[in-house]
Amino acid sequence: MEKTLQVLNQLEAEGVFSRYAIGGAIGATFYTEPFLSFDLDIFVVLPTTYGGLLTLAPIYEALRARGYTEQAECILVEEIPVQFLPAYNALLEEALAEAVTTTYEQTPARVLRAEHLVAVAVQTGRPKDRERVRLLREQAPLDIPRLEAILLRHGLGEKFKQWIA
Amino acid sequence: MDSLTKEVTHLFEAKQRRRLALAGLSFPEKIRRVVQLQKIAAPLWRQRGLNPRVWLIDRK
Repeated sequence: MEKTLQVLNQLEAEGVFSRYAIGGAIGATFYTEPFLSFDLDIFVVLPTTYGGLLTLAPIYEALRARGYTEQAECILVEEIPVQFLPAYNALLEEALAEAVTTTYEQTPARVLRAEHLVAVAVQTGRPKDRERVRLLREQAPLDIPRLEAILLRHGLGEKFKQWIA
Repeated sequence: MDSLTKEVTHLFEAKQRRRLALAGLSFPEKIRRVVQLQKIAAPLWRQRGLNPRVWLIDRK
């Protein structure tokens, strides 16, 4: 895991993507009890391309050049299946901009804030996202005014209220 | 009946305390627990025709 994060830090330093943060189940696990996941979801801010196209191709090319291989929708980075997800909307762009820096053993890493993980889960809207919101509300040290502001800013307040009713 | 309810309440409270204690572990320790869960779940996933990969997390 530490080696995987070191590779992500190298890619960021080289400008393959301008910023990354751990999200998804492992991002949530940063704040909650551990729960099962087989993928490491990494949200990335991609460099702007001509025509504004969001493409993960440069990341895959950089990782293939280092000898890493693809497995289904993931790429195996130091034996961990990593799924890269571009920041494809305003909520994710904000979540990445405000992600927190931590260290994993000796290696710096960035994780989405708990409030953004809740908002992203509400926006995504699958049954497992609903369960994630329940867990984060129960166990994460949520900054409620911050969460409310995020939900309001991204038009998710009503859906969130329905979920927690 | 009341004693049974008390016992069950006590068990649920203990369970909740344990879950909160797990939430307070360090991130690397949590990832080690995730891998333990992967080892438990992987054979069940394979029986369903899926091919999950248990993480090797201690590469330096």
